[in-house]
Amino acid sequence: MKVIAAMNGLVSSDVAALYALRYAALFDYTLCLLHVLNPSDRREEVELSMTIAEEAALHYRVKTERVFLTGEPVEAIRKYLAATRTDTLFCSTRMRAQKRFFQNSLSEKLSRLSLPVNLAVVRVVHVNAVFVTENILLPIREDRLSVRKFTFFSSLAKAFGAATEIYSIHPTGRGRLAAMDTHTARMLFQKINTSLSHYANTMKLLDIPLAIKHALTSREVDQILHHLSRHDFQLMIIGGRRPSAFPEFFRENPMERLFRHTQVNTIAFYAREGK
Amino acid sequence: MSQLFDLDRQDLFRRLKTSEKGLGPDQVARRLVEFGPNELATAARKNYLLAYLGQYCNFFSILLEVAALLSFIADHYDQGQGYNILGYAILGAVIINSTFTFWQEYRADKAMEELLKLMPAKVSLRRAEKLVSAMAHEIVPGDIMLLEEGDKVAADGIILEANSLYLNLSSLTGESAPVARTLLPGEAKRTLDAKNMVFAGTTVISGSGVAVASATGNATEFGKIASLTKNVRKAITPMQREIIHLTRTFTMIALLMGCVFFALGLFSGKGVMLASIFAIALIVANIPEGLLPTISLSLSLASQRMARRNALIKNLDSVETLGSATVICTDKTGTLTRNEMTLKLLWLAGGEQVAISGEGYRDPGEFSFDQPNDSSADRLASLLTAGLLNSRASINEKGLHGDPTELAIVAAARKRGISPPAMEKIEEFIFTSERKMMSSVYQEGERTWLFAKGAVEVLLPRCSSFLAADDSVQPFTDVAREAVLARANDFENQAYRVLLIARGEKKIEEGLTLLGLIAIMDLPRQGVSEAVAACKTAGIRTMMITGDNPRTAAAIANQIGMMHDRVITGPELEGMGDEQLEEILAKETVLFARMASSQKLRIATALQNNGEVVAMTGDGVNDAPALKKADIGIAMGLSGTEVAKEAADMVLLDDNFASIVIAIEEGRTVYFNVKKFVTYVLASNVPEIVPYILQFFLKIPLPLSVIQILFIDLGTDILPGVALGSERPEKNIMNRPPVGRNEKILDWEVFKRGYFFIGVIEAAAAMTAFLSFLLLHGWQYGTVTLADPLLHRQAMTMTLLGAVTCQMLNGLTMRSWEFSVFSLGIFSNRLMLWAMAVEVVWVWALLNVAPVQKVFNTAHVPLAELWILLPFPVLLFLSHEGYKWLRRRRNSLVNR
Repeated sequence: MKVIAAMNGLVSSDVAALYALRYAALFDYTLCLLHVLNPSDRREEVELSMTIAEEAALHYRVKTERVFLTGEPVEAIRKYLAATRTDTLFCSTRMRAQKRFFQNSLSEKLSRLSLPVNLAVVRVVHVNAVFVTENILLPIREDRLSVRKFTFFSSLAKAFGAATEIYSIHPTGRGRLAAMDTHTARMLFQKINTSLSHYANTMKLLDIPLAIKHALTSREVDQILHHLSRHDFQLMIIGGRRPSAFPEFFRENPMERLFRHTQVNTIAFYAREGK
Repeated sequence: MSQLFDLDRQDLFRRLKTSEKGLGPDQVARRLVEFGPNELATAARKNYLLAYLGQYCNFFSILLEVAALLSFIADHYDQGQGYNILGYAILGAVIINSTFTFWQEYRADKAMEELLKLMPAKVSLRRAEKLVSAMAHEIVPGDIMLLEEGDKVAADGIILEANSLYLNLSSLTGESAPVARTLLPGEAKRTLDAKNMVFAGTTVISGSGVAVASATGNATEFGKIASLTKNVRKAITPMQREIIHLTRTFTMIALLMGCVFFALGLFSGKGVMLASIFAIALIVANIPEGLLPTISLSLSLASQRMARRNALIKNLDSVETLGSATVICTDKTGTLTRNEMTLKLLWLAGGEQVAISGEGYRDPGEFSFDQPNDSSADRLASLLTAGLLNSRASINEKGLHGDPTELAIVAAARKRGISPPAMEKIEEFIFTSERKMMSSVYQEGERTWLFAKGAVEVLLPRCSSFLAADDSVQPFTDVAREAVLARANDFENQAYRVLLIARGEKKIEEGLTLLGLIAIMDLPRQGVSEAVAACKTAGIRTMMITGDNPRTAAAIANQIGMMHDRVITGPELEGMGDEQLEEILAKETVLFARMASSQKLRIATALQNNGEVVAMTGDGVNDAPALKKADIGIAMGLSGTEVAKEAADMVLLDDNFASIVIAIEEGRTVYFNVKKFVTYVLASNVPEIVPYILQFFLKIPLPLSVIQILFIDLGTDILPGVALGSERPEKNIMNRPPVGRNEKILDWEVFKRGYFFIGVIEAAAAMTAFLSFLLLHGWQYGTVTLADPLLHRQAMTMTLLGAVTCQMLNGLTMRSWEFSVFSLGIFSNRLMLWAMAVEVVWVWALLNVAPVQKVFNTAHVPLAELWILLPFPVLLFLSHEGYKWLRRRRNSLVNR
């Protein structure tokens, strides 16, 4: 089984590869350092990045391989994935610049596809955070947490030996918020805790510290950003949302806003299609 | 694996993929795309057009819009009945309501803009081995930043070179003393504690340096503060909650009544048209259209009154929240105290103690020695001269310049008539929080002088001699050192800030001669003790949050009567869990000492979790999150930063704690004033509803048209409502506990007085006027359609006037919730007199001005027939005054 790190020589792709490395090390998978050759390439920079990743892999005793593909990047990767047994593809992403508004990044294109592997899109904010990850945050809406996302979250926590927190957001309008008393809120949180109890038990078995916290808010993204500012997290994992055919041109969608304004390294996780 | 600041230079460059030469243009361009521009994130864009249109979609508005639509439909099928005018009038009411509500919400938060001002526009960078000047938003991680004195730092970075580099980190830590930056991180575990880092939003005070950018934009420590400020969710204000509650209650009543009468109309065979008209009329009658604009206007007037008393309100809803405040968390310096350090006591190294009278920087004062000898005056002059020369502060006609401690020394020297001797300053070793001392080197001819002042524990070991009582320099003995420490300890126990003054004859800060100790205190402001006592009576807990040491804080608290059960220091708070803190705050009044500004947010949150309504003061940039989080954020107008002022709900123009208490009094007044005018408005709903119900069940002509209902709600009721909103505080307002979170404006007492007491009298007045007028003009019961339309309009005018005249005296008696209106003084609320005068003009216009009569469906009624209107307003006035008297009597019996 492989874990793939898509590399392009940029700092953020180096960091994404290091996340992939830690994930691969946990399961004893092979780390595949993949690059799709293209005309605007800086081959030396890519090779330097791969060398750095290989050196780090030696430290974790992870087998590595270099793969260079040619052709249209998305199609080449898709074909490669179909031909290999891969668990997760790690890929860094960039900011959506005005000049390149209509030019989607590779990660954006990949996230639109139904892939046979898990896709982890990494937004790097702090270059060094991958070396000092001690606390990981997983914000969810109420008790909605898929088994696959939880598995990815707990795997990374185990890989880094990090403490974790599930931050359950309960979207509530201002009016309801005003009317809600402490008892009702506690009952609601209790209900969510009960729904998440099997995940909490799993984390206990894995010996991963887990805290479940709750928030009632009318502004989900702002609440998460505020929570990040107040606490010391080095990584956040969020559920990726595949963009619809009609992207919201005039309003940032919440996930995009969270991804853009996050103050910590963030991984958007897209579970593989099918079983 | 290490933090970036722990890495050696090679590893640092390797990890950031950069070098001392700097990044190349290609790398910069690609990193800009990777990490984004070095900008602080702005809040989600708000579409104000959508927000405004949204106001037309709330309960109140939708209901009125449906009523307007039904009016236009009725007009389409039955033209000439004036239903279209009714439709337009209802729409007008909706527009007024929506615009006022939107205006309140439009006051956008500008804290972000102020934060952005702390970021520089241009920066010096080294890129591809060249020095370039770039825009600050173009910095990327890996860029080499060149820092000079006076520069604003644009991104977080690790220092590569430092040449006496001192930074002002106050935007992050609140501490304004310069902080030295070095090449090594020290024992830092967190980024903020690393001594080899520079941070975005801070300023280079002195020296120069080179740093490699490690984080930009939101990822910087400053970005975190910006994010906290931007994303803090303000708890819903009690006024917003009340408005939601009021709106829902009235809407439900209106909807229910409208539906019931529509159904009754249909089943009784009145037809869809008539049933719809009834439904519209009852909906319009039940909704107090003027309520929201009146609340807005009253809050505006209250905020103007508060501004005159040095409390500038930024968020109108906060006015009423002030009345609910249960805890005030206040700074010490400048709020409880004068922020004017006064040198009160001196101890000369020869052994004499000197007391100085006069407070502040400009008061004259006397010096009294306890055991003077011939040389005492000279040694005092030497000490004050040393302090004066080693100070940057100045006091002159243009004002005060410099640090408060130094100003205290300068003020003391002025009191003694000492002016600086002619010497040339050649060097200065500045004060830093690490050194805890400063010194200045002077040249006097061939002689070099060094004057030093600083903390006793730092400077005493540097002294090798002292100026003895006979004016000679004696070497220090252990006994003499013990005596100095004992005296310093004695001063500190009295809450004084103690500094040691010494001088030397070399250019180094060693081997100094002790001249003496000075004891400085920031004295409490005038009126603060009384304000603290008023808070106690009013059931409000006051808690001091200060960066000072616990001893000083407790001494000041005791001086002003601020009782506390325990003192918690910043480090103690760090080690305390949220639940533990909440438990302590639920039971005890705490004095917080040695606090960092960032800990205020935690305290505010813990108090709010306990159900407290928190008023919190602050002045620094990093106070902004706590100010936003608190129910009432109070910024200091004189000493506060713009960011704090923008984040706050209220700005104290004189930085005085007493002004907070005055504002709370006004807040409570607003709460009760709103209660009064809600009762006033509710009362007028009854004479609007009852005529329709009676007409439905009895065989009488229509007593009141819908347009006349709107005339009452939006015409005659608004001005007296505003006048009630501007009523002065009642006598006992600060003797009652704070307005509880669950205390509603629309409570049973308001319903009882409004609907079932005054409302019933007004309805009786309106119907008596209508029916008496008809009966006097030969009408017989059972005649629903009058042959003479003029007679019908005259009768409807009588109904309208019955309600309006009762409302005039209702406004007058409602001026006090508890006390007799005569005890307030008739002329104490001139706006109410104006409102009544305007109502009289309206009555005259309804009776005499043809265009007004046409619009409002009224007619002239001879003066001789208006006597019917007289008894009910008088009855209303006297009965409500009697009711208040009974309540007072009952309360006094209960109290006994």
